[in-house]
Amino acid sequence: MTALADPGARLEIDWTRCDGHGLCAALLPDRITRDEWGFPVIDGRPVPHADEKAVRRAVTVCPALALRLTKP
Amino acid sequence: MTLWFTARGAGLSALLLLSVSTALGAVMTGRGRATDRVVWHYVHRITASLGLGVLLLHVATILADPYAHVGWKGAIVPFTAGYRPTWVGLGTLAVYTFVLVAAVGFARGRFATTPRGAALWRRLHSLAYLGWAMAMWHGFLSGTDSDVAWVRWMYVVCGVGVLSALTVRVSRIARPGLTRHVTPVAPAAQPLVGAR
Amino acid sequence: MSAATDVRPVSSAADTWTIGAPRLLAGLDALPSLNLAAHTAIHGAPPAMDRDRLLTLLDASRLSGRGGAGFPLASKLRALHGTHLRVIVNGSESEPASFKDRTLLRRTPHLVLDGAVAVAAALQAREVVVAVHDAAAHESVRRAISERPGRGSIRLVRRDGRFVGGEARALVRGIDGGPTVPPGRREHPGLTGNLVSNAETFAQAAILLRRGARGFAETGTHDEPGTVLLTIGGGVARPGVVEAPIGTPLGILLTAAQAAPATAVVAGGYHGSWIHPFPDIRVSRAGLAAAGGSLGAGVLYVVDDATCGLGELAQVTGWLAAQSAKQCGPCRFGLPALAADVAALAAGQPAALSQAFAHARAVDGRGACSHPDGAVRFASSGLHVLQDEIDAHRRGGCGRRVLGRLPITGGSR
Repeated sequence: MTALADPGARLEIDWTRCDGHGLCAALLPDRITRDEWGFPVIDGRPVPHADEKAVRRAVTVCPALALRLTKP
Repeated sequence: MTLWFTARGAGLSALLLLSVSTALGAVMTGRGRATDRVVWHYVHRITASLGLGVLLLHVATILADPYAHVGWKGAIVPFTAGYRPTWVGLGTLAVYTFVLVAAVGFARGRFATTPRGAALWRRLHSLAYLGWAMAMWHGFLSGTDSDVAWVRWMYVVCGVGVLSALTVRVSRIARPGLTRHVTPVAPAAQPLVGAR
Repeated sequence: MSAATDVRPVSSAADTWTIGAPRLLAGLDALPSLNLAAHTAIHGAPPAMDRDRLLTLLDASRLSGRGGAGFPLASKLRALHGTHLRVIVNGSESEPASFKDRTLLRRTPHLVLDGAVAVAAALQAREVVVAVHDAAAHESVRRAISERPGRGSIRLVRRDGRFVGGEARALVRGIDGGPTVPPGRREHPGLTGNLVSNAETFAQAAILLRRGARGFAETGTHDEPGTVLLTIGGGVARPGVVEAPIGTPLGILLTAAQAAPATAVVAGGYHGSWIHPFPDIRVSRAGLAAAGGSLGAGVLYVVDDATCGLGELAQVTGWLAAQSAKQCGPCRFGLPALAADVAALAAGQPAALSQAFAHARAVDGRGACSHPDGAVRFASSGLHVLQDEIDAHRRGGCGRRVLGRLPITGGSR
C-alpha cells in the first residue's frame, strides 16, 4: 500500500457562478493562478488531506460560492 | 446591581459589534484587492463571533438577574416575558435569528456543493438584516438606557451604518451589467499566503 | 463547368440525394413529405420491443448519436437514472450549417417519432418530448403526432433557436421552463432521467428496429454500420442533405456534390474541424478523427479557392464568440479575444498567430459546457489548415473576398 492509496478530494469550480473576484488565487497561489481576465486557472491535481483545510478556506471565502471540494 | 449593569452593557456592546458585522457583510461583496478582501472577510467573522458571544452574555445575565423580571420562559418563548413582553420578545427572536445566520455562515462551504445551495445560502444569511432590525427595535424600546444621550447616538450610528451599507449593496445589485467587474490582475500580485 | 458560379447556399436545401440506397430518406425522391400512410407503405409498421432486446440490438449495431458527440445510444440508455424517465428528441438544430434534422422533421417525421416512441416504450418512459425551433418542422411534427394513435404521450415544444439552446442540458432546462442555458456542472442529463438524443439518432434507431442488427450492418463500416445524414454545402454546385453509407470516401462525396476546387473542408460543423480535402478520407467517426477532424453533426462544407478562407474562419469564429451564453468568464471574454486574433490575422498582422493559439489554450475546457472547447477546436484547426493563407495575408492579402461559404445567418431558415 503506497502513499498514493488516498486518491484525494478534488477542487472543482462552477463557472456560471465564478465572477473572477480572485480571492481563491490570493489564498492558494500554488494551486490557482488567474488568466488575463481575472478568472482562476485551477490546477487539477487532487487535494491531499494535509491541504484540505487551506482549500476549504478558499471555498468559504469565495464571494460567489463558485468553488467546491468534492470527496473522491 | 452588577448583573444588571453587565446585562445592559453587554446588550449595547453586542448591538455595536453585530451592527459592524452586518454592515461589513453588506458592503464586502464589491471591490478591492483580493488579499484585502480576505482580511475583511475575517473581520466580518470575528465581529460576528464576538458579537454573538457578548449577546449570549447579555441573555445569561438577564436570566440570572431577578430584577429584570424576564425569567427562562420569558426569554426563550417570545412575547411571554413579565416585563415589556413585546419588545423583549423581539429580542428573543433576534437572538434566534442571529444564531441561525451565524450557523449558516460557518457552514458556507457546504452550501457550495449544489446549484441551489448558493442561492439558498444568500437568502438564509440575509436574515441577518431582519435580526439586526429586531435587535435595534428591541434595544431601543425595551432598554433602560435609551433616554441617555450617548446611548441614543450609538443607536443612530448603528442605524445609519447598517442602513447606508444596505443601500450601497442594493444599488450595486440594481445596476445593470453588474455581475462582471474585472478586478485587474497584476502579475506581481502578492499572494496572501507565504511559502509554507 | 465552373462550379464556383453555380453555387447556391444551402438555404434552398429541400434538396436531398443519396449515395447508394436510401434508408432515412426513402421515399423522398418521389414525395415532398410522408404522411402516416405513405410512411407505413414505405417503411412498414413500427416494431415494438422491450429494453433488453433493444439494448442487444443497440450493442450489436453500435449505433452512436448523430448530434455531434457521438455517444453510443446503448451507453446513454444504461446511464439513465431515476423513475420519471423522459425521452427527448433534440430537433432544435441550431448549427447553422446543418439541415439534416429539419429535413427529417419536415419531410419524414414519422421515422423520428417511431424511433423515439419505441425507445420510450422499451424504457417505460413517461413521455416523449420533441423539441424543435424551426416553424415548418414544428408544423410537420404537430401534424404527424395528430395522425398517430396514442398521441397523448408525445409532447411537442418550440424552443430557443440560439446555438447554445441546442445543447442537451440547456434544452432540458428550457423544456422544464428554466433558462435555456447549460447549468454550472458538467453532469449529463441521464442522471436526472432524461434521455436526450438527436432527431437523426431516433430515425436511425427506427431503421435498426425494422432491419435488425445484421440488416442494419449491410452498409457502412464494420465498427460503424449503417448510413449517415450529411449536410453538404459551401463551394458546391449541388448542396443538400445527403444520405451515404458511413465510410464513404470524401472524394466521392465532393465529386457527387460537384464541389469547386477546395482549399479546405469544414467537417462536423462549427464545433468540428477544418481538414485538408484529401479524397481518401473516409467519412466516418474513425476516418475523420484519423484525419484530424470529426464527423460531428454530419456537416461537410467546402471552402473553395474562390473565397478568402481566412476571412471565412474569422467570420465564423466571431459568430461563435457571439453565441456564448455569457455565463462563464473564460468563454465570455476569451472567445471574443480569439475571434479578434483571427480577424487580425486576416488583416495581415503576424503577431496574432501565437496570440490566437495562446487564447485558444486559455479558453479550452474552462466553462460549464463544451461551447468554448468546440469553438477552440474549430478555430485552431482552421489556423493549422490555412497556413498558406495566413502567409499570403501577411504579405499583403490573398486577393479574394469572403463569399460566405460558411453560413452564419442563424439556426433557422
